[in-house]
Amino acid sequence: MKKNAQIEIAGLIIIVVLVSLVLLFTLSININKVKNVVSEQKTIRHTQLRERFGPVLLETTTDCSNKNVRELLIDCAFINQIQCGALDSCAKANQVMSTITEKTFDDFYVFKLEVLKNDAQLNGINVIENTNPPRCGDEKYTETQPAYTNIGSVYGNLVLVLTQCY
Amino acid sequence: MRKKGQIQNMESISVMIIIAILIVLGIVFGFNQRTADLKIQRTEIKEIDATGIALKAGGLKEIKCSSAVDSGAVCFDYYRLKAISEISIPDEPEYYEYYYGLFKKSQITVNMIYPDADAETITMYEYADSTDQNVSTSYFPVIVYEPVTKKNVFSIMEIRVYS
Amino acid sequence: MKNENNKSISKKGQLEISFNWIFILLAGGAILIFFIFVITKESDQSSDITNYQIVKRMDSLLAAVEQNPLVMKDLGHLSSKIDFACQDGLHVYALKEGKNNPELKTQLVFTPESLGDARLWAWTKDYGAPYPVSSLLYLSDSKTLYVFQKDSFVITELYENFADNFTKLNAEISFIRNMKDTGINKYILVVSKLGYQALRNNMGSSIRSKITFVVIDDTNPSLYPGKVAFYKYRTAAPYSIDDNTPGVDYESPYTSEEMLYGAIVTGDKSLYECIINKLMKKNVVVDRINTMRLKALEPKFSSLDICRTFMGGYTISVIQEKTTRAQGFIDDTNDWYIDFYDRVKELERTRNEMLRQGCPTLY
Repeated sequence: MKKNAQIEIAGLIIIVVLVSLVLLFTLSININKVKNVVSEQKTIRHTQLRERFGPVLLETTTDCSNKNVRELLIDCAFINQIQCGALDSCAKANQVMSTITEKTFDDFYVFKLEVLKNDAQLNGINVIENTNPPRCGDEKYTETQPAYTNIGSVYGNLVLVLTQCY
Repeated sequence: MRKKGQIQNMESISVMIIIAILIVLGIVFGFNQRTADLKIQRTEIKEIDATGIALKAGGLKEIKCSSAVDSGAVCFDYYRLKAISEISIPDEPEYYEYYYGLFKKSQITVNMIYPDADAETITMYEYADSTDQNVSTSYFPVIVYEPVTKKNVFSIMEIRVYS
Repeated sequence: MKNENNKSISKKGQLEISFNWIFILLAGGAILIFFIFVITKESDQSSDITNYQIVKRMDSLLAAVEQNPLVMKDLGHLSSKIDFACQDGLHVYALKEGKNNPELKTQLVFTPESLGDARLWAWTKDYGAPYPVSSLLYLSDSKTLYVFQKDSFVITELYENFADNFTKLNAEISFIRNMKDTGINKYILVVSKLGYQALRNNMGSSIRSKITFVVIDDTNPSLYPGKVAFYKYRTAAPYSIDDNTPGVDYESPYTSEEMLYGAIVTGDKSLYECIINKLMKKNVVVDRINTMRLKALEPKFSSLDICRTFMGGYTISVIQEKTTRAQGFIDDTNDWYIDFYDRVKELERTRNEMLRQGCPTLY
């Protein structure tokens, strides 16, 4: 009789243990699922901002004889003729890009904006970035916008690069 | 003998009851998890909603500017934007109904940022009863073109989707 | 005594066993019922979510495709069937197992009456009147065949400008007459009036139920504006063509190539007119926006500036007349679609003049 009762209780304990294991397993899967969905949401929200920033920036008219940012950058990179009061085209472009990025990206937006002439940062143009706190790991997205020259001859390659990470 | 029989009975019954309770608890837990899953899916769909609304707003032919933009940036005509903000209101039911059909429970604002002299905020569309707490916001850079001065103003279109 | 004790013991054992079985049955039954309840509720919710997802994804898909005009897009294989219809003046689509028919309230999508179980294609074109009004989306699948009459120059030209990836054919009347069913769901035959007369009584019986004739008048000096006629075979014996029922108007107006392609892709008068009504409502909205724009621009120019004349009363009155004609576009009792077309042309001329004078243009 005693042995029968012991066997029965042991059986009960086994059932309890099995059910607990199954519950724990389900819980761990669900936690992973939530993580994936949250990052999916971030991707959708940030893509438009990142993809469309460069094209819009380049077309923006400045208060320097109504030249747009593209024209200032081309002048800064290849020609050096435009004067915007006391500033040259490089300084003016810096000022405009700095103002715009400050008003567009809030403190939590981790990004870096570069202007590359033939794959190196354009002299006279500052790299604008907000990497504080630095959170760029593997999740880095880059958008490259070419700044075409509308003058016949080829001066070189000039591109705007916006890197965003989250 | 009598007593042993009763104890035997009680053990069997209690085992059955405990197993039944455990199974029911497991099912209830699983069901709650599934409901939470569906909630997450609904949130995901809302995000797709926000992007869909952003694309619709960015693709509105009736507010596009007349001149082409080299870089392919989305460009709105300033006066068309002002006009749409004045008609997509409940006081103009015919037009409000049309834009509600497109934008549903959302608010679309265009913040004209640079040059500073042209800074202005235009509410392109606003859902009349925006008392909902849950908001999903996305940002969409656009050019706002002033056809008289021929200026391109750097602007951010902010789309807030309520749930 | 011993025997009596033994008997009572064995009876207790029997009672115990039967009591256990009753308990098992009851408990097991309750658990099973609970399971069934949970599974049913779960599958209901799942199918609701699936349909909701399809509707939402369709919405986003249409928005995304509208962003890219003049582009052919492969939408992949659609395994389920979607039916499109005009119900009580509303443009709706029905999913298999769907409870409600979602309405395409603002989307301007031209489709045949049924799509699905085939590869889906999307084609977009920009529509203006004359300023940009909307992107128009044309959806078709690999099992809808568009046949254009080869011996009509006008119709052949329509064939050449028609979406390349839609299933299309340019064929002589003699070929069309002898067509057999090859597993296509729908045949849309784009023919001239003469071509229609040659075909209407001569199509094979196996194929008749799947045919719509879209008849275009190719004898006018100009294709635009015009009227297109839709004819189908009766679904009951003797399966004759339905084109002379008293009181029925088989024709619908169009004023541009985009509308004409819309008529061809839908292959159905009621569906086509449903979408055109939505398009005209959009026209009214866009007219209002452009009128307000002109009124806002006018004071920016001095009274001596020629640009001011373009922003003023005359242009605005042309737009207002166009709006009135848009509101009666489909009306059978008048030819307002012709007046609508004339107003569009007048605004085009105004815009060209504005461009020539260096003024901010209408579009």
